[in-house]
Amino acid sequence: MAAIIARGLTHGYGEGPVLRALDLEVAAGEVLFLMGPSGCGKTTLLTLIGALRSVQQGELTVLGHALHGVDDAARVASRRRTGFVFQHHNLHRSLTALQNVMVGLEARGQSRLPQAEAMCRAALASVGLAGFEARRQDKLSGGQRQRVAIARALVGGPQLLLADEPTGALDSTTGREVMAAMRSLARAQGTTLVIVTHDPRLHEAGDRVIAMEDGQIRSMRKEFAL
Amino acid sequence: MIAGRLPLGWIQLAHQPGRFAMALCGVAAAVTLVFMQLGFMNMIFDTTVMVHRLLRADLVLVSPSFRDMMSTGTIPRRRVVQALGVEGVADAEALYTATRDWVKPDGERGTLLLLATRPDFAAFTDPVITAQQHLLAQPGSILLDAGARGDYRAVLDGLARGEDWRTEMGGRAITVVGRFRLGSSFGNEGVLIASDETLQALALNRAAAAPNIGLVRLAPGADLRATQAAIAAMLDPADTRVLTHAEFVQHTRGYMVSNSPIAIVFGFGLVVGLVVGAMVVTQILTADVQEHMGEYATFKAMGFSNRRILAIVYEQSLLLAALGFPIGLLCALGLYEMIRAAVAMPITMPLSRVAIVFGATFAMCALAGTLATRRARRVDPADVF
Ligand SMILES: Nc1ncnc2c1ncn2[C@@H]1O[C@H](COP(=O)(O)OP(=O)(O)OP(=O)(O)O)[C@@H](O)[C@H]1O
Ligand SMILES: [Mg+2]
Repeated sequence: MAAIIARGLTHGYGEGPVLRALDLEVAAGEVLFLMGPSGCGKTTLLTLIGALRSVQQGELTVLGHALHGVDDAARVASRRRTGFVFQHHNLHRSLTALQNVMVGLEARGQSRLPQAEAMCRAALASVGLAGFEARRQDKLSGGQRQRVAIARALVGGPQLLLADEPTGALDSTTGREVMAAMRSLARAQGTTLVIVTHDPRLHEAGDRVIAMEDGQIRSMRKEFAL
Repeated sequence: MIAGRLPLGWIQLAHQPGRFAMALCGVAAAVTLVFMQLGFMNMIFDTTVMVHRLLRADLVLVSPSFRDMMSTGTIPRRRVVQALGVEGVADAEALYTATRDWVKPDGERGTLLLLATRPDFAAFTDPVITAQQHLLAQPGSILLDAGARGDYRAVLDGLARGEDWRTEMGGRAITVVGRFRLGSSFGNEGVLIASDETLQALALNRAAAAPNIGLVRLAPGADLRATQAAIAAMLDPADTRVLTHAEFVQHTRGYMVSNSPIAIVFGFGLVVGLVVGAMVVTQILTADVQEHMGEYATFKAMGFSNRRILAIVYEQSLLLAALGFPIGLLCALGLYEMIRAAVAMPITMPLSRVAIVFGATFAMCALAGTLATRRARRVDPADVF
């Protein structure tokens, strides 16, 4: 089954399209890397898949639900099935690590489960942050913050994780650790991963690498030798 | 305990103690101001009927031009006698009023309201007065309101030792022979009670045939409305009206509410207090929304509904109302106490007023929250990038 199917996806911000009749299919459980020059439309594509913007033209189906021609409520529902990791951690500065993860669980409607707190603690532990539950972001390193953000995105088991340059603000060693944390957590939950990154050294972790150019898919490289 | 729904509004406020304190001060100041306006307004209205309440009567005969105790008009004395003949009436007597200057213990002059009736007629609700009325049979004798404005401590101490106090009123010598407690109002500094005979001696222009008010008391079991109607049928409406005691109080209170600018002036102050409070809270909540736009965009990208984001702002506004109100109430109670001590006027805090201001505080904060959410409504989840 395909987690994402895009057909003739065209999107613009006023002066000419940014995405031009883009076609893409991502299998469930696949780890896909997306690269391409700045301004080619990678983030735009992610915001469409993540239902943060409405589809202007073309068809887009994510996790079996069409996102073209739907209302705001359908987009909110789709966001709840999707996890996001951003270039910047975007943690809430007044919340502890555990509370930040709990917000992710609340967004998924699972924060009232009796095991909610245990789920959040487990998510933090799985990114190597057991013992950091009560820390606020100003007491965490950049890599730790990004790992909290990953725990927040993956708690509650979304079927799809979208990451936009999640290691962009980190040094390469920390970046590799964060990427590994994201991968192993996603693998354990069978989550489909779509990751935008400019760092080719990270691509070895993926099933497929796609290069975008001028709003279209230009090439795919498959089957990296590990 | 973090399960369920995080109190994000509370957490954000608690993380900005300076801003939180400022918002609480804004709410508390508005609440205090509103309480002061209502307190002063009702104090004025209450003082205008303080003497009404001192009069012991079921029905009251007044002139059609009657407004309040300082402006009563007069009625023919025979109307009181006529009322006595009506079935169901047990007792009726005339009450005379006059405002007179007298010389206070410090030598200054003060204007007091003089009430006078037959010394053997129990015209007053205060048993302290009734018990001393026989002393007034002696011409020139007077009972003094211990709550009157001015320093009467020496006089009151003297009375406690059994020493009368002699002073001068309207060019004549009078003797204070006893005391009671009522309190001053804006119109006069306090009340004096004398016999009708003493009043006529002090106010030479006053005819015994033209009292100011008639006090009528019913026999046990008599019907108030029926007796009122029976008296009214007999009187000439051109010179006398008959009111129940409640109507008598309401007449003056209602007159003050609708014919004086008091309600408008204080109502205006009250609205200003609420508007300023709402503005302060709106400013502070808007600043908090502004500062958390990034977080809110992230929450929306994660699947928070618009409602859930707005709920954070409303949670903050209701918290400010719930915490700011008691602070404002305490301040107001303290100020009320100071006013009671300073001007000897009956400023009180009825529960109904507490409830109304409590409601108004929540309305004010809810309005501020609504204004502050205008910004939060525009949060775009795509702004996370
Ligand atoms: N909100 C917006 N309003 C107007 N134009 C936008 C907006 N977001 C993106 N664009 C434009 O669309 C184009 C594609 O932007 P996008 O962010 O998708 O590129 P990107 O591939 O993610 O680039 P980068 O690698 O620099 O992040 C750019 O030319 C950008 O200027
Ligand atoms: Mg981008």
